Amino acid sequence: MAGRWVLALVALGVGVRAAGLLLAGDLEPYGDESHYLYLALAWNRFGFYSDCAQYLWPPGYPFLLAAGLKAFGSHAIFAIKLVQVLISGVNGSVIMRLAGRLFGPRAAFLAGLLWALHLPLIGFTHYLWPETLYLTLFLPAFYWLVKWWQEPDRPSAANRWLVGAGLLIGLSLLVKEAGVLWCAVVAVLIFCRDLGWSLRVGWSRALLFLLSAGAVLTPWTLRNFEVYGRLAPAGATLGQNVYWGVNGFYLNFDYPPSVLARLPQINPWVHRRLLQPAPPNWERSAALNVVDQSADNVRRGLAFARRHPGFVLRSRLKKLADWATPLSFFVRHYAWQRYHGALTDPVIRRPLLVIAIALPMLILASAWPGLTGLRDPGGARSLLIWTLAYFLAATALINGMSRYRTCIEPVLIVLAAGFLSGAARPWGHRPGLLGCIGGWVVLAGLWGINLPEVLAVLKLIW
Amino acid sequence: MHMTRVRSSISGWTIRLKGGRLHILLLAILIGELLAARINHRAQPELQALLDSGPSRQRAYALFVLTNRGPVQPPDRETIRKLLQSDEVLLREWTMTANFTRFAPPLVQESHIGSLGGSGEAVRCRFWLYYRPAGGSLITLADLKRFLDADRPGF
Repeated sequence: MAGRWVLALVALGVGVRAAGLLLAGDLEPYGDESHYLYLALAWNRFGFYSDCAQYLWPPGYPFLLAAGLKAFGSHAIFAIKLVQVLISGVNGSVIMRLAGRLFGPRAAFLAGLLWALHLPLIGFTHYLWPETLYLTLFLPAFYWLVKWWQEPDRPSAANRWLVGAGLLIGLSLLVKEAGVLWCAVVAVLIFCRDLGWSLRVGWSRALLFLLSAGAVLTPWTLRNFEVYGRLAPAGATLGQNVYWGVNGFYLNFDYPPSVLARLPQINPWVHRRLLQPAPPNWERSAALNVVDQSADNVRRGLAFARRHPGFVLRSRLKKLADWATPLSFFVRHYAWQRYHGALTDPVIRRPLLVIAIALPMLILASAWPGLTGLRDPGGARSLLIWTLAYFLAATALINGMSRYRTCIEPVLIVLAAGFLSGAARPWGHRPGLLGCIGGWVVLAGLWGINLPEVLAVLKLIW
Repeated sequence: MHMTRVRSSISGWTIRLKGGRLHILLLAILIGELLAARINHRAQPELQALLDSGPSRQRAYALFVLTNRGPVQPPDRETIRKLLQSDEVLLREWTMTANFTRFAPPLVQESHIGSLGGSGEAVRCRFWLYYRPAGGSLITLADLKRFLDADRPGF
């Protein structure tokens, strides 16, 4: 795709985000946003990074907040959000390049358009959540990996791409912990692909990627070992998520409390079939430091799953439906009445809500045929499949909500653009067609599971 | 460094593998990081000494590590009182944070806050103490502004 189109779409996306930031105004920090601010203020005051709310988060995002607070004082929140708006341009540009590489220029244009108008991603540029920063580091790394996969005849550049990808992934792990085991998955995939050359090349390349990521992450891992006496490579957040997600109660941060409290009445069939009878809750660990608490909570969650396999399996179906929900934090912010001013005017609010619900549905429904119809001479499809599978398993099988989809939403946008542009044609052969229809049936089923709740949320905010 | 020529069994392409200079560089960085961590490691007695007589921020850091690295001894009331009477403002403030108060209800800290009046330290101590992440409390923009303005002249 011509450079001027890429620039025009990036400008459109950044412009829409900047407008969103101005219209959203001064949003009060909520949930983890408060925790990140607390950590940043403590960092500036005491000179070291701490932990908070039973989470040891990686330090990258609180560091950005701390630097912003130091530089801009009480104007820091706006300044940081503005930085997020600007760096999101990198995400848009990489999404278009990736779509162009995998599917051609029409798909690149469509991917740029989808990214520019995708309200769930736009929302994260004016919240104090680390998603935008994470994607800015993760996506270029992912692009280099795809490039490496597709151009095996350029060995001189291959090492550069792998090292660049590894370094960026290492940095992204300093922002979000979610991809820590994904590195191992990618290393195995690199090894398997290069076995075609020789065992030695396979080891060499896989190691190069891991060493690059490790060189960035290791100082932080060692610091955690010094402070807690335990190994916490990127952070210790899994245990708390297991507590929320693999337990006898049901929680979904996409819903306002009024919907959550009335879930048995709003969606009785699903509640009865998937979430009842609920076994007794297990208690959160009371271990004396956050890393031990996290490990202990994971053990308790696994013990709970072993004791109640039927309930855990049934409730995973609900978690999957929560992951594939058309809702998002953007819609959630309306439901929780976080927005004030112009964004709440019905003339603006209603069209935005329609776009905010419709685009994720379109992207989810198109991504699957995009993946099955991807013509892939370099074998990058295996990277895409394993990446999607990893992030789906690492999030939806533990606790489902729209926010957990954000890490791979850009990849879904690329695949959707491939299908919508006509470059990915899954129905050229019978298995592809059946796979595509099967995927749609599953997705429709997952949407069906959550339909009453989604309608209840929409009724609340329409 | 030598070059190894490798022929692919699949496609017949030939690539040259540079003899691992990048691997060695990255490995050297990793070893450097491990050595730096080893040199900077502080055992329990060193941390205790740092807590008693180190520079301001390092004293707070020592307290942070001592209450997180196992085997952790939750601080008793007497220890908390001593910390609150310390001449080091950062130590006094650290005893108010969510990390330090996780062991027990912060009754001693609450009574200490009462004696601070309306100083900048009192504002910060209240901010640290009354933010209870596990209890669902949140930082408002007004809290943030109050905290950032705490040390401004004329506050």
